[in-house]
Amino acid sequence: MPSDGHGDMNHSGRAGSEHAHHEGMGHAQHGAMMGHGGMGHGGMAHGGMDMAPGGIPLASGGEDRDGLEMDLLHLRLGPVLAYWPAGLVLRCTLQGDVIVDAETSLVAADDRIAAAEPGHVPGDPRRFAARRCDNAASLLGLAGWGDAASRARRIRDALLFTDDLDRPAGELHRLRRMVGRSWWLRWSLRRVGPRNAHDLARRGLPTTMAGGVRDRLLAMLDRAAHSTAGQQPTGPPLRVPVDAIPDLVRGWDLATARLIVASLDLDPLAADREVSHV
Amino acid sequence: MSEAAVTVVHAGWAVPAAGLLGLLAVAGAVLDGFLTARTTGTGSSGLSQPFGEVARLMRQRRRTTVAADSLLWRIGGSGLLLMALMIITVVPLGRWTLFDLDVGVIWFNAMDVLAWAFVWLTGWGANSAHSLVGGYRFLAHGLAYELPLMFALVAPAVGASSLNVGEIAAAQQGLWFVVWMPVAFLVFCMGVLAIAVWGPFSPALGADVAGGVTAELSGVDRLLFQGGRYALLAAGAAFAVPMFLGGGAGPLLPAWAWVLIKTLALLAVFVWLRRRLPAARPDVFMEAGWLVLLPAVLLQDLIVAVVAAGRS
Repeated sequence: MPSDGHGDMNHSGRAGSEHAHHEGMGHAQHGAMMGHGGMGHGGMAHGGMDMAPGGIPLASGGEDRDGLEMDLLHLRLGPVLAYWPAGLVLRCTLQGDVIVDAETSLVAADDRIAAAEPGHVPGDPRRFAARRCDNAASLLGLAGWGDAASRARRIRDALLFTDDLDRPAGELHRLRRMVGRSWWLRWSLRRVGPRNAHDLARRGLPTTMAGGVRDRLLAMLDRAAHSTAGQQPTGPPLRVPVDAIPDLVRGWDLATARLIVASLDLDPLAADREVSHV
Repeated sequence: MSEAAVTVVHAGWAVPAAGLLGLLAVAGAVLDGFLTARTTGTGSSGLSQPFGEVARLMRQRRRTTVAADSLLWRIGGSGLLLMALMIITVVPLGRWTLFDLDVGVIWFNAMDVLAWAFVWLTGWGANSAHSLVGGYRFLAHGLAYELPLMFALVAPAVGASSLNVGEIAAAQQGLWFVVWMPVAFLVFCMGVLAIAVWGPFSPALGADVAGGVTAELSGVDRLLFQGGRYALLAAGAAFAVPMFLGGGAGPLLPAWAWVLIKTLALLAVFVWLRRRLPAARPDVFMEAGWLVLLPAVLLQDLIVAVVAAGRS
């Protein structure tokens, strides 16, 4: 996926310079880029600076879960990434591939709540269902199930661009059955991101998020199906505070964290806003 | 099994053999393009997709990353193709083979272990977080698939009382090994998918780590890596034919044609499987590998050994 590659290059670049600033080594970073003259200054400020291959300072260490010292790596996910809620930025601190700390921010948005459907129009169940299908496609794509992800995407397109609602509704029903029956998916996603009702209440998260990633995936497809069947989504709309995300992903490895974020069924966070005036 | 079951051909035939492997790999890629186009519902048939992709990658400028370990990166990226070429040297095409190694099965095993190094080096060389994570994930998979794969290779060798691939094929006159060694066959196929980083074993290249070990590969490097994966699938399918599927045995057609037909059929199954199954997360698969696959394949070996001892 070449587009992913581009995205990643940008991330690593930014993460590197960001790291330098974190450590108060911004000056040293510039020095190392400019040549040897600057290096000496950086070296005096920080002993390890002559170990900066390519101008990127080496990672600093931190206590691991096991009590061993392990390198800390800073990696930024988003705001643009395949299968990622657009606009959401997650700054992760990694040890190995485990997220030990994270903080979220939003690009050009001050709304700290990601509504299931910002300005959800009750009369527009198609868009609601299409958004759910899109999110389900992301989650299935992250879970590596190409066929199911393609089907979810096709249903989304059919919901948005065809007048006939019966066909996508039937397809959605079949997809829901296929996903629900797959023992491989159940096995692969078991024990990922489980939340019980008590835990959710404590964190102020909607009760629709109960269960693991697989349960939330099925719930997502069910909501889409209900919406196409003309039923309004039951209960208050699903709202996930963006500030809750670091808590949800902390302690999981990178891939699992992405599955968890995808299972939150968020909407593109700043898509309806004008970001820049050029 | 006294006289040699196969004839060794002149070394010059290595070039047509490599070409044949290339054709099989292209066939796999074409099938994958077709299946992908069918499920995504794009207008085109997808049959030309791999050729377009080759053309695109051939003229794409090679990107590089800051402080990349270029030498190791290149070695890793081109290594998979090399592995596939080395594997088919011991696979008899009907009566002919390039190498009539007494220890052909061990040769295959030695080659498949190289995947550990090559995939890992590809992830390491780019000096990027995502590709490094991808490399680690492959090693985690490797810890789970490698031992079952090794013991799966033991079963046909014990059944035929030989490590020579030609003799193993010859020992299946009458009854293919796949019939009474199904577990070993399935585990072997799983191993082939794993060394090709394919289907359920592709989390090392997963979308969740932005392409993993391939995240920074571009141009010719990416072409070599992806081509190597298809070539490995084809080589693995070709190796399964003398090991489990009776080699060139079959009615009417000559032996070499049967080898090709069986190889293509197994390759098609491999390619098709990719879209059908979700990924096996490395941490979850580790449990399955050690608690289910390894005991199952050891039991299979025991049964084969008892049968073989009873025969002699």
